[in-house]
Amino acid sequence: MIELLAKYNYWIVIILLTTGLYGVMARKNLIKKIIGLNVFQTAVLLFYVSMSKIEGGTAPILLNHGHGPQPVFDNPLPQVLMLTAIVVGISTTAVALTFVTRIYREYGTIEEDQILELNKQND
Amino acid sequence: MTDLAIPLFLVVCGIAVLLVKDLMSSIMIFSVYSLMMAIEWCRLNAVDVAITEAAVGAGISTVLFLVILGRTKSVDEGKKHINLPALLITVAVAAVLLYGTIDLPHLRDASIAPNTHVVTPYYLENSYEQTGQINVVAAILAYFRGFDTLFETTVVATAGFSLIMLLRAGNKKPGALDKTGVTAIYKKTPASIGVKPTATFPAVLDQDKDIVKRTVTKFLIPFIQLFGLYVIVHGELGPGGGFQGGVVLGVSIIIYSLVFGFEEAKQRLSVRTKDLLVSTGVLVYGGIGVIALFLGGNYLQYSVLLPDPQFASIVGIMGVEIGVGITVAAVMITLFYETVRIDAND
Amino acid sequence: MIKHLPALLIVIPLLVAIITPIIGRLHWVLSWYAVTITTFISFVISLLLLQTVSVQGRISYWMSGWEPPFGIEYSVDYLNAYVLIIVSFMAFAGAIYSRKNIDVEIEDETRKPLFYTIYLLFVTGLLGMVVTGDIFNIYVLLEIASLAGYALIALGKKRQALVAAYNYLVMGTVGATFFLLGVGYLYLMTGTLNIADLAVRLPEFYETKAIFTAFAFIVVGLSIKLAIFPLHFWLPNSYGYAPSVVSAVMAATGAKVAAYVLIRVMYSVFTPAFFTHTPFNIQYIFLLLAVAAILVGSIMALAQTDIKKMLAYSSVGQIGYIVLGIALMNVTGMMGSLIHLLNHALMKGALFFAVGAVVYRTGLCSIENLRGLGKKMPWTMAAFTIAALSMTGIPLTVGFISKWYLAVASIESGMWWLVPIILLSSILTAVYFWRILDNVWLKPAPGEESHEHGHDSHQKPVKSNDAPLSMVIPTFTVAVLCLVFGLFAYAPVSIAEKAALILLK
Repeated sequence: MIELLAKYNYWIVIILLTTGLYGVMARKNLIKKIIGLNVFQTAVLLFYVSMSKIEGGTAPILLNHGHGPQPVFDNPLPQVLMLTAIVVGISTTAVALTFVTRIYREYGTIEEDQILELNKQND
Repeated sequence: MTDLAIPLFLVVCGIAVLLVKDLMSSIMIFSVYSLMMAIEWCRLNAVDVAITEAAVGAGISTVLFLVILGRTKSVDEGKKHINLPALLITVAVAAVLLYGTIDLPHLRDASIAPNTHVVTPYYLENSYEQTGQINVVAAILAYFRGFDTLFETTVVATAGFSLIMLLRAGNKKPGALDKTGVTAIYKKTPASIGVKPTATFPAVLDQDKDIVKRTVTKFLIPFIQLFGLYVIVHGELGPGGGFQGGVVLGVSIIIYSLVFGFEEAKQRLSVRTKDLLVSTGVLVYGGIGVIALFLGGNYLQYSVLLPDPQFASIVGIMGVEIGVGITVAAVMITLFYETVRIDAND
Repeated sequence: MIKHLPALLIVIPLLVAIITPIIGRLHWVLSWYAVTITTFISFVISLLLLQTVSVQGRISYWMSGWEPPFGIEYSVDYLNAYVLIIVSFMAFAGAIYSRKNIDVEIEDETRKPLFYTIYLLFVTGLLGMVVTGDIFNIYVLLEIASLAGYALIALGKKRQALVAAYNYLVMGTVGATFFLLGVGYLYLMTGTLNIADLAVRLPEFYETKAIFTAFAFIVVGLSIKLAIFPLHFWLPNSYGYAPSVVSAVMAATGAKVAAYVLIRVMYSVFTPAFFTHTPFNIQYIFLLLAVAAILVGSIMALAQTDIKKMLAYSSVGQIGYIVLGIALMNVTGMMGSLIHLLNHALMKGALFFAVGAVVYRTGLCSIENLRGLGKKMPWTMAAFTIAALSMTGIPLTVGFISKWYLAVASIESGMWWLVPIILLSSILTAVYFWRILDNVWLKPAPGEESHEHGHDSHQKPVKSNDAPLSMVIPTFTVAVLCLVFGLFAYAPVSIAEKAALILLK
């Protein structure tokens, strides 16, 4: 039980990740798929950020210009990586929503089933 | 107890986002989800990441989703039956993840590899001596792994260019597509399967006549912009940096055009200038790297820019943060301008 | 400046890409010049890098001047240099080819400078993925190449292109996020992101479940990008509806780079020793998927009526060959895979280029539509034929060499049952190309059938109306290279051998 609780952030990550992934695959609305994709991505971000925390650590901002004794710092590297990943995520979302707008203009719907049906009619 | 409360709330939001039928509610819950995520990260001391998530996830993403939602049909009509293949794949992924988690080290333990292997201790020791940064996150972001950040900025610029290419130029009048002979046959089909194109998003085009909003906005925007600039240049001392500041700057223009109308905003910041700014930011960043090359250093080695390596690093980092800020702000404005322009031309 | 070549390789295209929309405001042709010259420079730098590697061995370049593993390292050995040359050459050929091609497939003048910007960003991302020695940097560059790729596909004229791009985006992002998750597991266990450092620190954790999970997620993520069966769903529509030049360059470079990263992960980050510790037999899983990909790709290609879709499905099969060589885990197999990388880049490039030329002249790309084109477009169709022959693996073409190595490697590792499968798929390939070649060379053009009953003396010779030179020259050059490397195979084989020996030392 203690074993399970010590890793609870991992379980949260797993739940969010699988929820998002299921949403991406199962939902038929194109916007909803992208929301699912975002949930899926943020779960991975949470995974990285969770590993940066150290018990009793503080934010990695040096005291006294780095001179003298320093407290225990949290690991800054995963945080840096995730800053990059967030930016990549919003860029992907923006491009995806651009596609959705164009698809709506061309098909008049953003429901996957209806789009497939329209494609079938033209083939 | 709060240790568990926020993560559990996250899970509730995450599941609710995908269960809710109404798309509008779904987007709002997603916004709350992002905000809770930011709070959780704040609690985990990842302040920079939290600020970014709050600005991007809860702010820009939500606005973007809402704008696109306003331009499309707003109800999620998909029937909520269980998708078996998707469920099976999800269960398989969950199983692999659980399997892998069994022997992962405990979190919050100072003795796990990321904290003990040479890399992180090196950053903590050398951040001030070598780069003049008190915020170690900024030192790694802009210098130790500066090349990553150059491409992070490029990703944003790529999204900006893609958006301009796909929305602006492809924005012909519906009839114009007919001459290619490709799209003409599609004209009738959406209606034939019972889809009605619904209302667009006219509100963002006209200026808002409400005097209170106009006055408050006029008063607030300089402060928002000042805060954006502060966040950009303040990165060396505390949380913040080019990306977060850029988002804030971009948002100030977006608010302006929401209240005073798109036409008015265009007069303040023309579309051509904004397009130029998307390129400028990356050029500033990449250019500083090239200068370092000519001064005999490696690419992006700021310490050769000036005689005093520490001061040179501070200047170099400041320079690239400004570059990041310019591109990010310009792309945030692009997101808004381009999605709104479609309406304008319809 | 020789010392800085690895950085210049990436930085020059990046900065030119960013400037391109600005100079494109004067006239879009300027952006074409910028991109063509830049891709050529990248090609020259790639050649110089290969030469430097052959003189001084592995090159390591420290970005921002930080020693690895603290900073980001760019490293080049024979494998990187080999893939770099393929990617930059095909990007250069595509750039020349694009000038006339986008006249018909993109049309809109205002889009052209931005098309070139995104094209060059796509190439930058791919080159970066090949040359970087940092696993997180691969993720960032992968996302640049992917985002640019989605946008390029969405430029296709038909509206299905948008749906294809959307689906690719969703699958691609899931793949990239899996990759990121796997990298997270690796980092949590080892504390480093540098590939060389990971290779040193990983063996002590080979037994752990976490590292196996990391491996699984990274490989699945890359498999989506590489379109390994059964994760190939995004590929046929994407290649089928994208503008021809985009299909050509993506098929010739994008999949190659994904395969390169897979090889790096399997043999440089992990080592063959790792595969003895896994709970499943990874080798068999890969071999089964490869065989399934080869057969399914070939059979699906047979069923298509649209040439671009047929070529796309045939890519699924060809990727199967590459995976087959990787999975055999011996030097000969790896050589077969690496030669097939070159081989498939050239063949698929030439085939898509030729189809683009047909679209330029006729506006259509169904197989029926090709009747009699052999007389109308002799050069284009000659190039198509050479590439198709190489695809089937006829001796004297480079296609024969890679299949030969793959067959020998299968026998070496005692899996003789793979040889008939390679033969069978070659026959299937021959069948689906024969349908086209038959139409092209032996059947009369649609309008001329009525003349057959008349007197022979009345028949006028068909006027040759081939595609413009800027399209024919790259198409034909790439096709002829299939023959050149088939006849003088020494150069690619020797480089592939050196690369394979480094990987499987």
